[in-house]
Amino acid sequence: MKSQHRRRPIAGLLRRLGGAVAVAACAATVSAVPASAGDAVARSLAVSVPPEPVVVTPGQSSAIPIRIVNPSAEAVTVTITGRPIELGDNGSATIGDGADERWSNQLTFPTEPTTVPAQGFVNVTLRVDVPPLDPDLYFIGFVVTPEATGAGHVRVINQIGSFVTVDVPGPRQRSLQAKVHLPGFALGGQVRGSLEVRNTGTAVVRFWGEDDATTSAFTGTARQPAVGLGAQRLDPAVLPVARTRSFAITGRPRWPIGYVRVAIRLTYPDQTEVATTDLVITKSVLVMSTWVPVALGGLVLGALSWVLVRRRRRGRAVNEQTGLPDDPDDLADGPALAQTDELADGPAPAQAGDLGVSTTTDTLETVSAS
Amino acid sequence: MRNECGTTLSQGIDTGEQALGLPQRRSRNRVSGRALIAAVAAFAAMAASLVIGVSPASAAALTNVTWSVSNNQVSATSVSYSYSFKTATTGSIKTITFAVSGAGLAGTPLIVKNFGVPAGNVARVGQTITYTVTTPVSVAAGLPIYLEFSGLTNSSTLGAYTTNITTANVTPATIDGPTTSSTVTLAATSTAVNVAVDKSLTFTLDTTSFQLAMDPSLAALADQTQVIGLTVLTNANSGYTLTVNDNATGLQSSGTGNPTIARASVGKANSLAWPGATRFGYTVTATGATADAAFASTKYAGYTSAGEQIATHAGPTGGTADTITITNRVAIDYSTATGDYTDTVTYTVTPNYA
Repeated sequence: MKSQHRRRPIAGLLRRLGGAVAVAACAATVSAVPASAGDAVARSLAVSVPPEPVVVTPGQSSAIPIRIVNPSAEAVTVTITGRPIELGDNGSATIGDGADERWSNQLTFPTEPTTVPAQGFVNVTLRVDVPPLDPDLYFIGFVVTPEATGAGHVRVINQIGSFVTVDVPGPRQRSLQAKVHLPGFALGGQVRGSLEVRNTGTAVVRFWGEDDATTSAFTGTARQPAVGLGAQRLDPAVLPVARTRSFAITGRPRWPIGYVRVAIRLTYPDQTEVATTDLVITKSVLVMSTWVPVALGGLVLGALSWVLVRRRRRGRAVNEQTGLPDDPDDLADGPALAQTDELADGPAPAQAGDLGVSTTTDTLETVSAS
Repeated sequence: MRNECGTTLSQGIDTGEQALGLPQRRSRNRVSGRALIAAVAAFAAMAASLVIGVSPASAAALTNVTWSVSNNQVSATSVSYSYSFKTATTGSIKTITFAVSGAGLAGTPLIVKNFGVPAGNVARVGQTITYTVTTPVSVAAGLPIYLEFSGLTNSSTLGAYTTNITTANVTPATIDGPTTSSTVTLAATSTAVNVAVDKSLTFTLDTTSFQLAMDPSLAALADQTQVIGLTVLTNANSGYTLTVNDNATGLQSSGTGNPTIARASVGKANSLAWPGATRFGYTVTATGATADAAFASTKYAGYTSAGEQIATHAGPTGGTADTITITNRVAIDYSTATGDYTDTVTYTVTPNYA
C-alpha cells in the first residue's frame, strides 16, 4: 500500500513536469519571434572623380566628368547635390550643409534622381560656368545620396561626399612656413619629432620635399645616413591657404652617443611653375643611448672604488713601515704583515737607491729591497 | 727641449728614449721618418692625379641614367619627361643639361618634381633642356637625383631618341657626364597607352533599415542593439573621413505629442557608458580605420543633426576594405509612450585631399 501511495504522487509529479516542459516549449516558440529585424540588404556605392585638377578658364564653361558606380546586386537611385566643402589640416575634408555660395549659380548637376543599374555605372557631367577668379586651385564639393529604402523604422543611408579640383591658371602668390619640432637632446635609441608645414600665402600650394638625416660622432664632418632613415622623399602634397600638414621625423645615430642632423628641404613652385623655391631647415640633436649614463656611472663608481682601495693600501704600507697597524682595530692584535702583491699598486717613499724615475716597477723593487 | 720636439720629430723621439735609457731605437725611428716622408710624397702624387682628373675631358659618368616620357606619340603635346640618375662625383651642381638627340623638341617645360638637387628653374633652347639651381650646394657622389618636367612637345620625327645628361658647376666646369640615357622611341603607328586611374571611393552599407520590437516588461526586450557594418575602399592618398548625422533629436514618434526617446548624449563630446533607459545612442569600432577616441571603452553618444566625425583613415586603404561597425542601442521602460519611433541616420564618407 505504501508503495502504491508513493508511486501515485511521483507519477503525478512527472505528469505535471511534462506539462510544464510542454508549456515552456510553447513559450519558447513564442519568444523566438525576433525582437529586432534589419534589412540585411547591402547597398554599395562608389564615386570617381578626375585625379588631377581640371584646368578651367574664367568666363567659360567646363564639363567635368563624374562616375557613379553601383557594385551591389540591386539598382540604386541617387541624387547629386552641390555642397560646400571645408578643407582642414592634414588633408581632412568635410562636406557641409546647404549650397556652396561661391559656386551656387555656376554649377549644374543632374536635377532628376539618377538610377544606377546593379553592377553598373553612370557617367554624370558636372558643368561649371567659371566666374572671374584669381589664379588658384578651387575645390567644388558635392554629395551623392542614395534613396532611403527598407521597411524598418530607422533608416540608414550611406552617402558619399566628394569634390573635384579645378585650376584657374596663372601666376599666384605661394608661400610656405615650416617648423621642426625636435628636442636639442634626446635620451634613448633615437630622436622623434615632427615637421609642420603651413601655407602662409594667398593660394593653394603643391609642395614636395626631402628629409635627410645624417649622423656624426660629435663634430665630425664626414656624416653617414642615420640608421633607418637616410634621405626620405615627401611626395607632392596640396596645402590650402592657412592649413598645415604634419610629418613624423625620426633619426638614430650609428653609435651609442652622437649627433643626428636633420636637414629638410621643401620645394614648391614660385609664382609660375617654371621655377621652384626651397625652404631648408636643419637641426642637430644630441642622441644618447640610455645605457651610456649607466656605463659612465659604473666607470665613476669603479674609479672611486679604486681610489679608495689605493688610499687604504697606501695607508697600510705607511703603517707597516712605521710599525703601526693599518687599521685602528688591529692595534689589539698587533701589526699586520704587508703582502708583496699589495705593495705592487701602492707608491713607496723614495729611497736612496731609487733611480729617480717614479715608476711602479721601480717602487716595487725599492720596497722589496727594504 | 720643446723647440727640438717641435722642429725635428726624430730628435724628439731620440731625446725621450735617451731618458728611458733606450738609445738603440734611434736608427729604427730614422727609418720611420723616411717612410713618413715617402708616404707624404705618395699622397701628394695622388692628390695631383686627382686634380688632373677633374678636367672635363675625363669627367666621370653618371650612373643609373633613365629617361621616360608620359606619351611616346610623335608631336604629342603636354608630355612629361622624367629623368633619374646618380651622381658620380661630389660637386656643387649649378646646371644640369638634358640634350635630347634628334630635332623637333618643343614646348615650355615646367618643373613637376626635383629630388636630390635644390630648387631652380628650367628652360628649353632647341633640343636642350637646362635645369639651373638657384643656390648651388655640394651634392655628394652616389646621390640619386630625379627631375620631372611637364609641358613638352615631342618631335614630329619617328625614331629612337636618347638624352645626354651633364652636370656642371658655376664656373662652368663639367662635374659628371655627358652620359647617355636609356632610349625612348617616338612612334606614330604604336598604340599610345594612357591609363588614367580616377580618384575613387566605395562605400558599402550592410543594413539599409532596421526595426526593434521593444517591450518594457522584459530586460532583454527593453534594451536592444542593432549592429550596422560599413566598409570603405579608396585610393585617395590622404584617406577619408567618415561622419554621421540624423534628422531628429533621438528617436521620435508620430503619435500624439510626438514623444521621443532621447539621445544618449549631446554629441560625441559627451560620450558616456551606456546610461540605460530611456535612451538611443551608438558606439563605434573600426578595423583599418581609426575610430574616434570618444568611443573608447564602449562609450556611447547620441547622433547630432549637424553631423560628427566618427572615423578616419590617413592613407589609401589598398585592396582590403576598412570595416567600421556601428552599434545602435535603444533602451526603454514603462515611461516610454507606445508607438512607432523613427529616425534616418546618414553616414557620409568624404575622401581627403592630397
